[in-house]
Amino acid sequence: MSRDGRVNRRQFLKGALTAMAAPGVIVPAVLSSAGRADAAGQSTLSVIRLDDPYRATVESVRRLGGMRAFVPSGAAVLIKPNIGWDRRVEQGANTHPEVVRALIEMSLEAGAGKVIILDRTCNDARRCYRSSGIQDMVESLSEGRVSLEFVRENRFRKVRFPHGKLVREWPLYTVALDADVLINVPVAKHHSISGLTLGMKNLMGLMGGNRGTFHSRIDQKLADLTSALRPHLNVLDATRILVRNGPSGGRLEDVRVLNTVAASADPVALDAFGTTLFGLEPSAIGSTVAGHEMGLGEMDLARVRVLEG
Amino acid sequence: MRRLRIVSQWVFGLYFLFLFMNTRYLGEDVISYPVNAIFQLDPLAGITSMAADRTVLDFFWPLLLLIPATLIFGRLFCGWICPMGSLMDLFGRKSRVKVPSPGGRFAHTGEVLLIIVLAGSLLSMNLGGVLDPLSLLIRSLAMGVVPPLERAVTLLFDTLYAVGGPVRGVSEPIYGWLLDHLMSFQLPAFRYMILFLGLMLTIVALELKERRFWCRNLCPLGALHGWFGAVAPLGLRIQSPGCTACGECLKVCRMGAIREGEALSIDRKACVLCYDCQDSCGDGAVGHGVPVADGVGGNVLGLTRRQALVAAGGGVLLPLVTGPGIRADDLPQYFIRPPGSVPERRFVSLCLRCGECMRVCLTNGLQPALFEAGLEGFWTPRLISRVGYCEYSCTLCGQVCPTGAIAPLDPVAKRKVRIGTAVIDKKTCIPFVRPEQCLVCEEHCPTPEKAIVFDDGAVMGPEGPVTLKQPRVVDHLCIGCGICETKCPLEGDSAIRMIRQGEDRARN
Repeated sequence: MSRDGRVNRRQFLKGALTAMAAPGVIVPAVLSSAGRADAAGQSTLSVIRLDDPYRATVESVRRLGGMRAFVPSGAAVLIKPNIGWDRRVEQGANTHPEVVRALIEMSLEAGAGKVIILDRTCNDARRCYRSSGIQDMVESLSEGRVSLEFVRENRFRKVRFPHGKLVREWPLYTVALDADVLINVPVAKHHSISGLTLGMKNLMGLMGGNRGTFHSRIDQKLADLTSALRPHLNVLDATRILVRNGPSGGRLEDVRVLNTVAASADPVALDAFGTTLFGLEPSAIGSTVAGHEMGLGEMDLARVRVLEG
Repeated sequence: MRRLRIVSQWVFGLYFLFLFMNTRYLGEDVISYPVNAIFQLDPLAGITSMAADRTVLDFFWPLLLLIPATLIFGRLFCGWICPMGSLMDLFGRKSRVKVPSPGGRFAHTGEVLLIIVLAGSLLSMNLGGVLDPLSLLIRSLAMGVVPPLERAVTLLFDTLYAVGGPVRGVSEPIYGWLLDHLMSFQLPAFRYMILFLGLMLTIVALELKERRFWCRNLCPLGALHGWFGAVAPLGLRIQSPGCTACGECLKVCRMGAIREGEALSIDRKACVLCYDCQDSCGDGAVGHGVPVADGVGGNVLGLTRRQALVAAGGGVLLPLVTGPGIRADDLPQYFIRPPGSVPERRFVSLCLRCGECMRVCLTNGLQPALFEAGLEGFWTPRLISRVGYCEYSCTLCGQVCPTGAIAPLDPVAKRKVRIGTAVIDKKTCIPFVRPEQCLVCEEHCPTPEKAIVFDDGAVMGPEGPVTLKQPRVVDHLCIGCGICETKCPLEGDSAIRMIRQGEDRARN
């Protein structure tokens, strides 16, 4: 069994019949699992300000104890950047490819068996992967263990959200459920209903079904989703942020260069920090509050150990 | 020569297939080998488009080589180049399917259709593409053959995936390879798919009854080539001093072009220069040259003058009684043409109905019209935004259009082309009728300054009024791409829809 008592791919293949008997039933053990907070129960957040997205990312993870703290040897790692839009790097709608590259290479160094990168996009997936620079970056690595995959509609499976308050079940992407490690890599952007789109919102890229209906009472639903997916590591790309006309953007006037990358095992703390980059209080974002109330993490940054550099 | 002809059929056939498979998005903004190139050798498409549009289209320049060659040698296109003809030969094997005898009940149908189409094009009604064999073949493959085939493959591999275990381990790599190399990225589906498949299957079925049934009897392009080649001075002929009238050639002629009279002779209007007769002739009597004095030829028109005039009259009448309706551009409000489309009257006279635009459309949103745009708009493309939107930075449909009915656009210009305007139905839109937030239309809007904004509005909830963000379309920013209509989370019809209002082409 892998994280949260989930069946990983190898075990799934071994015990295919058993798995088929109870398809998609997932039982997370406990909500506050180890690694999310230190012994004293305190969340840790690293914030690195550097004008090199690659080095900033490496440094942000190093401050949290390095990738080995998250990726065991031989693990299957799923990296979930935001590649949702047919936009170029400088337009700030997608995660910076250099941030993703750093995470891929660190995962490989930590001994990952394979690294999968994917997103369920809003525009045509092929155009998004290409325009975002992610595809060219992955191809330039020419590393057999790394694959950039397109989402296939037959690979969602309906799972129960045992802790969900509003969402009791939803189809999620099987490849993500079967991975040993989930790394969530949002880009910080303006968003007209949820206010901002940060880490918890980024996880919507692993959802199947009619995602549009999710937007009614989205705050609690995002917290429910996060409770079901439980990313191990969250890295916020704030190398440049979109302050208006998000989440799709398209205007360079709406992009602010901040040269910042933050990382945490705590998705709530990371989103709380991301909110401050826009000059807002963490409590301004409903999903952060809902996540905090569900015990998914800490939104009071005063109670988070912040490692800056 | 027969061997050479077969090689030529394979070369052009495979080239056609190569082009067809490359007429889709392959990760680059530009399609390098679109199948529209094949239309450069299509005089029917060329003549009807140019006549209907009253312009010279440079695209068709290779006809300046093909037509003289046909005038000299005869219908070599039909025997050597046409992918439809080659496909027919693939189905209608010599050993299995009977050869036609000259004439026959349907022998002049193609000619009648040709006259109707040509006469209609003089009045700017271009229906040539509906029956043009190249157009028909591309359209049928793209919209009648590929979709059910891919659907079957997808069902198969989805089933194997669901089985799981070692089966999945084997099936998924195969499926992955198919997806990467041969199949469409998204499973395509088209309205009235069964019509396209049905027409194609009918043509194949006729071939199984009699060789080259379509080419001999029905094909208007074949009939046009027949006219060109009717008096070809260097067509095939049977020399009477050599010929012993053994009749072997009669048994192999796929076109029923050999006539028995005092001596055997070849009808150049029918002969496609396949050289089967030459191959079968034990006397070496088949060669090129001016037909012997009593031979057939000279009579270009197969119909009587009266029949031809009736057909021409029909062709002229058709646009007079259908044509653009009571008002110019009398199209339904929700009828959206692809970006770069020329104004409606020109559009229907240029469009060949080849379906390439619909094949390349990234989102499958381009769909064939039936009669929504009148008879003259039959099988022309329209954007059904609920199915798929117009991708903001995509320019593929204009790239593959053979005649410029959809003008090619560079990406910068494309992003500014307005094909319609979004309108919100406040009777169904979620934050107008229920105490729930929704923002999906605004979230997806691709214009750099969003064409959808929010106003605060109150909706009555169970515990009193709730203030919600209600979407509003900013008219001058909207380009009508339709992504909001595609993504609207309502079941069934979207609460935001595209209308023709404001489309750029109306102002041209």
